[in-house]
Amino acid sequence: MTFTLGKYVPYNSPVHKLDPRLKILATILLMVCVFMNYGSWAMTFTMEAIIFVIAAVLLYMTRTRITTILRSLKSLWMVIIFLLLIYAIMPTNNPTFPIAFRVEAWNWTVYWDSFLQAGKILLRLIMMIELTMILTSSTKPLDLTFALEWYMTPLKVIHFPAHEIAMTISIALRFIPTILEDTTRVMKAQESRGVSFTHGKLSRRIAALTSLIIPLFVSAFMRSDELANAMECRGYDPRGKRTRYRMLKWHWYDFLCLFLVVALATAFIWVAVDPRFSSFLKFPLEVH
Amino acid sequence: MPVKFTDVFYTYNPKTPLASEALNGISFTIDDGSFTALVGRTGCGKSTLVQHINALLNPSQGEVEVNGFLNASDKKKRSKKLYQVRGVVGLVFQFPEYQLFEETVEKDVAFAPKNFGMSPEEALEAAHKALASVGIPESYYQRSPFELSGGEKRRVAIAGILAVRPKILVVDEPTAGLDPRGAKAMMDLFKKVHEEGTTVILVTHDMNLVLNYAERVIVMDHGKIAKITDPVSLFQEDIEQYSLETPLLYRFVKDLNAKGFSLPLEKIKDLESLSRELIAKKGGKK
Repeated sequence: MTFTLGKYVPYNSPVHKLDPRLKILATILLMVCVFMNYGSWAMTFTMEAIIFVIAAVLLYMTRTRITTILRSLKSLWMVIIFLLLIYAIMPTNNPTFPIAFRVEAWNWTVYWDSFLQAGKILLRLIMMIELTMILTSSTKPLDLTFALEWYMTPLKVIHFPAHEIAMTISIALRFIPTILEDTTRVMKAQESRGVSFTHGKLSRRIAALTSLIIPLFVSAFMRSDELANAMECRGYDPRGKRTRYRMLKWHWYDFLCLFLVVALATAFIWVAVDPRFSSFLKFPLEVH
Repeated sequence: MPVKFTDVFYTYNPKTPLASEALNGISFTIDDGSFTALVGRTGCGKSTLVQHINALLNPSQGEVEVNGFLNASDKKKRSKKLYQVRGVVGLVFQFPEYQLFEETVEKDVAFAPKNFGMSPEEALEAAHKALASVGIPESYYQRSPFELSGGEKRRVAIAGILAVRPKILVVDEPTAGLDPRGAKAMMDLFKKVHEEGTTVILVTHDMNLVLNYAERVIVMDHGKIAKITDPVSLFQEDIEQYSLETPLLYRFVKDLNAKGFSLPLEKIKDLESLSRELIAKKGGKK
């Protein structure tokens, strides 16, 4: 069982050094840029391409291997086919491209727009994966939760349990590898009892899955019980004030990045909102 | 020759920065019907080695022959339906109670026999026999395995392996976390199984068990075989270097010798032989 997507990789890249609070904000802003509408098809793809290049540069900086992204795409091919089918079946409103083909028998017209639409969604999906990957592969999970807690601190005024939520998230993150370990252990034990998780009839494989899931649940509950006891024994009080070993510090390059990202997002939002830009660029065949 | 390792290497996470060699050229054979102990410090590769015996792991290099099945690094050389070797080799993991999942004790024990092709009736019969052999009373058969005590759970889990009637039984730290009486009962059970003709391989840190039960000892160190010998001659030597502890009996004899006795260590195997030597020293009849 491999768990490569989004795992923290300890390199010393400029992206790694950035403040996690900034990285969360930047990821959200870039995502907003990815998901905005920019008018004509040509405009949309140009803007998306710009973000794609930025994301690619950042990926290169964090030294994420291209193969890991490709692997994540491999599992997406079903989604791609599904998207194409859905958009081909759905009637197109205000087509901007000529008809791709027509099935006279069913009185069914497919415009090129459908394919572009599917392509756009796919591109957005890929970029979403890339952006989150940059964030999670360059930031320690604990730093991420600290940053989240920092964002939630203002909510403490209205008695929002910011610290408790951050603690829950960091515990959940901490136990992912442990539970994966448990999974391999139980799988091996059940395989020794003649279970096969990969071969055989469907009914047998479902039975195989129960033999894995039930022990996993049992051990997960036991672990959580033990952890709760251990925390209580050490006097953990969620409402207590506590200091932190690693403090989040804001550096000059964080300001620089903040400025760049905000400027970029502003430009993108402007392009999206201002009608003058909506058909600034056009594909040769586009009508509107 | 039921178990034969030929120059076996195994690397975890090969070709990554996390690569670690767990087995480093292992060769040995274990004879039919023997009782072998596998010892060595934590992380020396015992568990990795054991998982090669029932094909949960395939060697990175070399081959493992088990009762006619061949588990080789080369996929083409590997036996077809290699997973069937798991019906011949019963592997009891450390803390086997974590593998229980069925609604009733009886069903859980019958799970493995059914997987290896017994009919439901046969499987139930095998389950009842196995449960009786580990000392679980009949009134427990319809109970949920999750309401049992820790020791009972472990016994049910081990019955789940014994029910397949494996030719080779591999047990990894079976007594960890059991009370002394439970541990003794457990070991006596394995002794009985061994006497009925099963080859037993015991992975343990407890040298007292090794002295009392094993016929042969394989000592592992850093993924290699450090020594293959019998328990009595192993404990003559300095075994601290392998992070092993001298059994109580030998420590007692060594202490006696330090205080002026001169008991021959190589002749002492258990309490009986020790008392014989002591009587001889006093001038009595052997």
